[in-house]
Amino acid sequence: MSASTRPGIAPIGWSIALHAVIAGFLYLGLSLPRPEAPVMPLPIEAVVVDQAILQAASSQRREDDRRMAQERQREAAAVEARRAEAERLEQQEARRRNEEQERLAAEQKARADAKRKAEQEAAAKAKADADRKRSAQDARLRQQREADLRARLAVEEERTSAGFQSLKASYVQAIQAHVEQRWFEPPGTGPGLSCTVFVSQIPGGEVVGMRFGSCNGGAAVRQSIETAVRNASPLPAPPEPALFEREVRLIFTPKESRR
Amino acid sequence: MFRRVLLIFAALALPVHPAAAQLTVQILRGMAESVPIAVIPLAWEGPGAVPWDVAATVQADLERSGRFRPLPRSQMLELPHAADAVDVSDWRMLKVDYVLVGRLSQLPDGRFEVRYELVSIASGQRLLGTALPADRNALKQASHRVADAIYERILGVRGAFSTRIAYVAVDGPATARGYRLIVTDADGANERVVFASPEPIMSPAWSPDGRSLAYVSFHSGLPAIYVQTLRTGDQVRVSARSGINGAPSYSPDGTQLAVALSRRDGNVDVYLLTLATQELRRLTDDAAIDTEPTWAPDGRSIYFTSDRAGAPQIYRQDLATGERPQRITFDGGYNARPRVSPDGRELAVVTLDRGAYRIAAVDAQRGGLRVLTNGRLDESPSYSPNGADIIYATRDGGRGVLAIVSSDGRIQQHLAASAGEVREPAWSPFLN
Repeated sequence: MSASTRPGIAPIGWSIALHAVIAGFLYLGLSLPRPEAPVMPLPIEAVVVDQAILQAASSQRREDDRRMAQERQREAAAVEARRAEAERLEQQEARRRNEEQERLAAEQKARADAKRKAEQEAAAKAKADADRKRSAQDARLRQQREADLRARLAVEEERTSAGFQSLKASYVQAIQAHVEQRWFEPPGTGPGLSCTVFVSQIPGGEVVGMRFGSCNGGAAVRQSIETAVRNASPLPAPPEPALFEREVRLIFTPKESRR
Repeated sequence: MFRRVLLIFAALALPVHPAAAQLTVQILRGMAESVPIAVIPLAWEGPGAVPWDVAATVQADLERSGRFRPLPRSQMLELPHAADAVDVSDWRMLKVDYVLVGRLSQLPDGRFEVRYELVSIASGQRLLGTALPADRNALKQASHRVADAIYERILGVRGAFSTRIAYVAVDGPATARGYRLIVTDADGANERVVFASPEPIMSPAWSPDGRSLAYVSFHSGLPAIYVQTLRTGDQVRVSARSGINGAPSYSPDGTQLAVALSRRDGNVDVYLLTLATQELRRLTDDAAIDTEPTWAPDGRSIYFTSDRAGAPQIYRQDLATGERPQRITFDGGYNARPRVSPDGRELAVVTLDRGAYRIAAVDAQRGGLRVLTNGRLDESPSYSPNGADIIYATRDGGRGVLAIVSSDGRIQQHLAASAGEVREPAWSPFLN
């Protein structure tokens, strides 16, 4: 436990030290003396005079010198003040420029942001629109499929319903009787015979085609069946349109021997 | 609810375009009574008058069979003479299923040629196309052969229009009877007397080759069995044993006759007589009457009538095993005079049906019986060689006449009778 904590303490110590150093540098950097503006040497004007005069002049001069010194001091103070003022103005200007730049940058950024945002929003909107559209389409398709399915279910259900089945039975019987009345069963046929014929009909019952499936009958039996089917056209109409089938399978299977 | 779920699954399992659903209809019987056909007069391509109306003979044959319904000539709208000239839609309008067209021409050698074609109106196909040469006096036979071919092509069964029928005709008052054994064509034409006698003639039977008849005649004063060759008229007595010599029936190979003999003991039993050697073999031995034998087409057994159970019934004797005969008929109190259908599957018998004697078909294996006729005194059934029809004798206005019933019982008709009374018809085998 202690072994594992030690390596953790050291980086913290280093970190503290590093922070201290950085703080130090920052302080130094901040407190470095700014370079002073250089003092401008003032020009000196001298004139030769007599003693008295000189005296007078000397006191005058001293007075002048003092005045001049005061004047110089004043001027220096004024220069200093002007300089400070200029500096202040310059700093103010720089600050203003900075602020202006920052403002411009901010404005630019804001414009860019706004533009980006607008673009994003537009894209989002487009996407949302597309999504909405797609989902609407999906919904429509789904609805249609469901409707189709329901319709098919309804048909299937109807087909399996008792009423439909009995209608179908009567349709089958009608076709059976219709074909049987037209079939001349050749002598010698009987329970052994089994002939399947696929008959194609169109709405209205017209027979438009027929083909033999498995058939153990001879040429005469096939001939008799072909003739019966042709003569059975048009086949009876179904009692219910939904019962109509394009293909009807006729199975010729006599129950009794025809001798 | 569960059903609904099942339905949903079923519906989901359906392909997007479900396979065309089907309606299945079973056709259990053919109700059409006959086949409508147009037999168009043949074009005569020769000098002078038409030597023979082939189409008229064909039409009469088909009509008489009861299975065809020929269109009267007066209703024909056109008279084509070749298959490619048959306008299918016109004939369809007339509700005709088949059309026969053809030409009759004279060949350079003076003979004639019948060329004919059969067209199916349903399919438009030509089903037959044949040329038959014939002498002038054989044109009627050629016509029957055309009818045979049509019958076979449409019904799947060989036609029997070219066959013959033998029967016994009885003329004159009771005091002066005349008996004639007659052979005619199947249509009743071309009547020829084979044998005539003032004494009874009975039980004519065709030889399998159609060349001879065996029959019973009393012309010598006692019953005897004779075999007569038709072409030559030669008559041979084959059995004149004491007592009854009756009911001959040819074996399928033509070498033997099954006969009913009483011999000296007066007990009528069935015997087999070998014609070439006169060798006699007793087949049944029973105190009752065993008579009216007839051969199964396969030659392996003989059916006969016996009253060994008290009343006449049909029995079958197997020729190979020698076991006791097996009773076949159990329906009704009287079943007699069996004849076997050419396919061996049915027997035509005389049965007592509600006080009347009628012709019935009996299932040779299971014994089931179907009454086919509705006369009062129908007797002596005989199958056509194609098995499609049964000829028999019946009464019409107090006279014995011949009648034909289809072996399914649907078609019945009396044959135009010649004068006098007609009995015991026997249909010939195929002759060509």
